[in-house]
Amino acid sequence: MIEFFNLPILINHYLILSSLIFLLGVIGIFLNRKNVISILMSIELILLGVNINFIAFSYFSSDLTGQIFSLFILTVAAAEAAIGLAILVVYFRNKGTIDVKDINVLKG
Amino acid sequence: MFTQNIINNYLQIPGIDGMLLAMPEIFIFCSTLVLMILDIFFFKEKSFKNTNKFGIFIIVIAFFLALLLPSTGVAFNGLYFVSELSTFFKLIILFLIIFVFLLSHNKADFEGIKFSEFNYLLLLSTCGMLILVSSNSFLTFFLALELQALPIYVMCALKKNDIKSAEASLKYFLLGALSSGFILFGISLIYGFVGSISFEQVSNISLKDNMGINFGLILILAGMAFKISSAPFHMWAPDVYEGTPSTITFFIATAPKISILGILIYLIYRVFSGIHGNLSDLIIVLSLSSMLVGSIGAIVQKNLKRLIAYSSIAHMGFILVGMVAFSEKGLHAIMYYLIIYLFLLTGVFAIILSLQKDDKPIELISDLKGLYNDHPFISICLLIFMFSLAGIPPLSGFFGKWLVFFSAIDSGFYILAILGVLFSVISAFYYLKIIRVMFFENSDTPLILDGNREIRFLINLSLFVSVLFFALFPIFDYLILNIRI
Repeated sequence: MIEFFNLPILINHYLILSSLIFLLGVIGIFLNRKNVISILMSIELILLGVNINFIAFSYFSSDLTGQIFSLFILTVAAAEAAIGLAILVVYFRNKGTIDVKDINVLKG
Repeated sequence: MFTQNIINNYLQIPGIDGMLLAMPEIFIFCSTLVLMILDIFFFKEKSFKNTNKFGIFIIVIAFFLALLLPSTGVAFNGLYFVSELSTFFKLIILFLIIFVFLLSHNKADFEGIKFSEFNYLLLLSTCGMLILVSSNSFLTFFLALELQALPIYVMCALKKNDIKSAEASLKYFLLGALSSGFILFGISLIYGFVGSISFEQVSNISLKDNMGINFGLILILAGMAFKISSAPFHMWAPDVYEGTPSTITFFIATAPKISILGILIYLIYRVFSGIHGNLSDLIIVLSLSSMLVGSIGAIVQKNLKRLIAYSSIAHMGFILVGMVAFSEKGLHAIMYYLIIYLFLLTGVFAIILSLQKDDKPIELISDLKGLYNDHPFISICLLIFMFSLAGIPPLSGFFGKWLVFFSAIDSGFYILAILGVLFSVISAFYYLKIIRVMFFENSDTPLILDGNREIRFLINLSLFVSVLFFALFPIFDYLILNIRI
């Protein structure tokens, strides 16, 4: 057991982690049937998964570009969250609910 | 087929001098900020009209900056790249934004979007589009993609008291953010396996069978397909087109697609040209499924803007045929197609915006009943645009399809070209349906034509281009044919 914990963390471990987080986000968007806020959270998860990827690659190839890129992604994610919440407020004012199952005015 | 190190032939412009290359973008960005301050302090009541006029002014100046500045080269340490190709895309985008401003000038009040924010957001999004088509690194690419997309999400929700507008915006935002996530994940994989995010480095890779790069490529392509609403990633388009106010629908149906196709051409023809073999099957699937969904899906639609959404999905399929061809001919065919498509949509949306029934904008196809009796000239214009969209010979739409399919045949994609022609015949059905409704059916409530000078100008201009396209061929040849990838 102690042997197991002494193993070095390699790049594939990071890749598996980031892919899992990314997939969790994507599945969260498509399988979510309750609340739009949790879809916004899933989007954040996707972006964070990408960040892990970038930083791991950057660390293992000793190249700073990836870390810079992840900083930019954080900024864009913040902007995106702000705009998403603003749109959600407009939607809530008109509809009175933010349930996913009620987003059905437009269809055909 | 294409030399891979072509970027090295362009001049590297070091340091601050590179700013000259990015002058249109810098100008638009700075003058938008100045415009906001002007608006707060000086434009009291006429806030929208004045910002709109200034917006046109800014775009016209940016147009001439992009046209006249000596502009090819790589700037900002290889982050930014201006070529003849990117200048071409910048010019058509700026041209188009002038149309959007003209359409919104008098119609914004009627549409319920008379806020001066509309103009700022439009300008900022334009800035993002211009940066996008000349980005030369995945960092610039991603940031420009977000800069063009984020204002558009807000613009969709601009009609604040309308549930449809808010819902369309919410859907567009969620799916747009998801597609950005896909693109980012792809970029991260390519960064990891190539070791660089610069397009020059990526274009030098010779790792054809590398899993990571191929997977990243697929993810990037899927994200881009989302943004140009190509099937099977098209599901947001009909809802968003229906929900948003028509001026903004016109904007999102043309401008972002042109800019994203611009960078997609760059990515496919140059950056990933070394591994094009892996890509071409994917693009064939995207193209065929877009044509299928666009042609079949539109048949059952009753809402006019939903129908235009499906028709634009089909047109994306036709454009992607040119991308499949992967030759200089295909590249030029795409450019012709984009110009033709731009003018056709301008005409159609100008007509939709100028017509009203019971003091409401027209929505359904059946609202067009009796258009021929009420306004013969407008109905003939719409007839010509519909024939042109369907691809009936002497009109412009025919030439676009002709060039695209010929480029595919030249590169040996016979079956794709034949299927494309078949789908275009199917799609003629619903264009003819609109024509039947407006010529042969009558209604009791008359259609009111509320066209002002700007809208009449746009209708006449698009009519001129679509009817006399064959006569204008020399001009477009002069513009397009000497553009190399």
